[in-house]
Amino acid sequence: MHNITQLSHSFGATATFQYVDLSIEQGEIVSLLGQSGCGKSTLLRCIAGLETPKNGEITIQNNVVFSSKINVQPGKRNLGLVFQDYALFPALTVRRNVGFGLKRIDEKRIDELLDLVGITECADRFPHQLSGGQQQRVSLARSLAPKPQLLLLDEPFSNIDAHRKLELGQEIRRIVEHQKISAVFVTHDQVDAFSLADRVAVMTQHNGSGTIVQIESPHVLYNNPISPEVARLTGACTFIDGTLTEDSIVETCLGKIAIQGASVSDKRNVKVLIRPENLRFNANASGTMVVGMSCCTGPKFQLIVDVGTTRFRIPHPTYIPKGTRGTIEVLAPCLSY
Amino acid sequence: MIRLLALIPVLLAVSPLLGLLGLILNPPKDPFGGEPASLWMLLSDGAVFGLLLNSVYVALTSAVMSVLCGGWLAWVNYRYQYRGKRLLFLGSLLVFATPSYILAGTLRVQMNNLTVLPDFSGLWASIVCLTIVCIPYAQVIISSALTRLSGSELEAAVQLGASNRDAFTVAIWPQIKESVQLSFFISFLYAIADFGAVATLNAPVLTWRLYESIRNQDLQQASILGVLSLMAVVPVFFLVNRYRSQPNRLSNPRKVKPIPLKGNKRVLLYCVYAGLIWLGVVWPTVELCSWVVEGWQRGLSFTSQWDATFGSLVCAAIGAFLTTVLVIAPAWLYVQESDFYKNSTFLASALPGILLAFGLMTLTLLITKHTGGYHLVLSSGVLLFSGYAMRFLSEGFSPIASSMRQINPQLSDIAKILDRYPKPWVKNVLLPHIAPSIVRAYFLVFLACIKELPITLLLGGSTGLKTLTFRTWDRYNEALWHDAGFSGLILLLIAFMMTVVTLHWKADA
Repeated sequence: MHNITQLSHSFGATATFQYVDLSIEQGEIVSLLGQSGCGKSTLLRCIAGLETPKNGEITIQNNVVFSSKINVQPGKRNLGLVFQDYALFPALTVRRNVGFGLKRIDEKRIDELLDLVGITECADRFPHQLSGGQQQRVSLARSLAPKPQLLLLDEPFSNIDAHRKLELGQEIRRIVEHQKISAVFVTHDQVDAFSLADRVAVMTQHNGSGTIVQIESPHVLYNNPISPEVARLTGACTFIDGTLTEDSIVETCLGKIAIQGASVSDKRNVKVLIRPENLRFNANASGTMVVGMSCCTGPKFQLIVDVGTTRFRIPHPTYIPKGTRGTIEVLAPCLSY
Repeated sequence: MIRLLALIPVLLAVSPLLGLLGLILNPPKDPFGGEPASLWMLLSDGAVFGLLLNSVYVALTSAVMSVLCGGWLAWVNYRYQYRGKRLLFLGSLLVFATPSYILAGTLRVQMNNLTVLPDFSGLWASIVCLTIVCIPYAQVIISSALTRLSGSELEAAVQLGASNRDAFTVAIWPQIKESVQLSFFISFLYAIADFGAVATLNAPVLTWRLYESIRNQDLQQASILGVLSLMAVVPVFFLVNRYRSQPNRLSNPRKVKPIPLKGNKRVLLYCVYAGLIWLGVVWPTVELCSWVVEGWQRGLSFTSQWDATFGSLVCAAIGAFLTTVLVIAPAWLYVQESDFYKNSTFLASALPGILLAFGLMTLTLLITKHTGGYHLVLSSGVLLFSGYAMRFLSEGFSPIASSMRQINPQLSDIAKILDRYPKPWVKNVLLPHIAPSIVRAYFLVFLACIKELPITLLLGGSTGLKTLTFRTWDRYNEALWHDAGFSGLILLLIAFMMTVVTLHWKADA
């Protein structure tokens, strides 16, 4: 179990993040998801010991590595770190890169790690002779060599092709499980976060400093974001204004739609969260809504329909030409704020 | 430990200033028993300020002309394609290898043979020589700025119908302005600090008169001239530093596609290159050869050059080694922490060599007045090599610091996380990365040391080591031109070789 308690950090007078609490179970992968500049990478560097927090406490495997009285050196925290641009040592071969963190050269351990990440055939190559994915694997093997208790990954997929991301993500999950360690990885990409993590911690900025606003499993987070900001960070969505006419029924530009558990007695004006997959376009010559654009996204088409000043992106299984008239149907009760 | 090592160049930088200050506060006794002249009396001598004005005039004119010419060559090299482009560019950079005193001496003889021209000496002749010597500096600095630019802006301007002139003004000039200003100040500093050309051409400027004052044992006059030199140099040094601190441009920009150079512009370009290479490289070499041949035809005896060649190589090798070693610690601390270390190393190098040598001598004199052993210190070579190190710290500093800056800071973060910092990191990451730049820095300083004249003249004589610079200078002034030509030719040969090796050395490997 690794814990971060009430951790705050600032650069001079500017607070980077404040009062961050996070617990990571043994063998769990937690993703820190947030927009650029919200302090997620700084939080990772604080855990690693490369930045000194202002206050709070960090424990790794129940050992305090940072508190008001203790600040353990980065090399003594027993962590692994993988950067987004790999940070391989250019003058060392793959084998020597992997073995760099070992106090004594242990060829058996190096071979084992090279095999684990699947780059045995590249052992004697130099970093510049490898592809991005191979470099990322070397970086991963190097961080695993000293048998860390917690693996930290800073935007590990940002330099990887889209089609290789999923494959590498699954590899990382397999390796983390195989090594029986925990991992924290930072990303601004919701797809990366959801595909790899057991739980996702969403970081947002309030009054210039970052904080964790919600920690949940990907499924729960996607379906029950606690705020419009979290909803936007966790997937495509549109917000429409509505007025509660009766309990759980809202009058909107799409007509009357059902929402989850809201009472007229609480408030009348609400913002309704609409996920694209919760909408269906029904072509109908007498409809008042018009398809503005239809673009292919691979397996499906995406229809762009403007209603008043609100733009809806609606997935559709077939091509519908621009100018087609119809209506928009909301398939399931929505969330409101 | 590293801070202690980094302090050595800082101490070296202030030591000549301390020496100078000590001499002003504690003026030497008049050898004839009279009262020493007061500082005010010396300062109120109008001739002294005349020297300052002359120095500034020579430096300013040379800097403007070299920036105009070098900048134009750099621009044409960047924008246009023409036959022999690479060869001509490299040929023009060979001017780096020609010491200013050899250039001035050979040009003086050649020009004076052309009876239509006035006597090639004094201020205007110095301006010609220093312009030729400074052109490669401007060319290299501005070329380097141009190659870091993305070609997209220029091509966008041309695509929108802008003329070449407008495209340059809008897309290029704003981005290279700082480099042009930097090249101006560097040329200015080089010209105002030069000793070789102005001494050979007997120009009434500060550095030459400072040397004469020291030679005539007029130390008080020398100290005033030293202070004036400082007054001329230090403000420009701070301006140079300001422009050096400008952020780097793109590290891997898209290059602009050069267009063919045609018509009058092409003729002009070939003429400028021919003039520069002819005056800066070919003519001095040919002239030195003719001195040797003439001496041989007249049956004059030649002094063996083995001792001077050996002495030059030894001095340059030791000077370059010492300078390169001294530069590593401040370069590291500059990259990691503060500009202070860069400023102190550059301050020492910005001072004229003759002033550095004089400052070192006076400081040693002041210290050994109480302890004794002045001649021992002088003859041990400590002052000579300290002088070399101070003068050329910046030449060694730049390539090493720039190589250190290229190291991804995350590499040290990784090493810290893996508990392999600093020793294994230095051995496996830092040293392999900066080794080629250390070698390049060594070559650069070696080249500078082997050509160096004023420090060698003032501080090298007592070491007993004969050097090619000293031999060339000495024989030229004795009118033994066949000997001067012989030693000058060997010096040029070594300098050309070192320049070619340095230009081809892949420091970024």
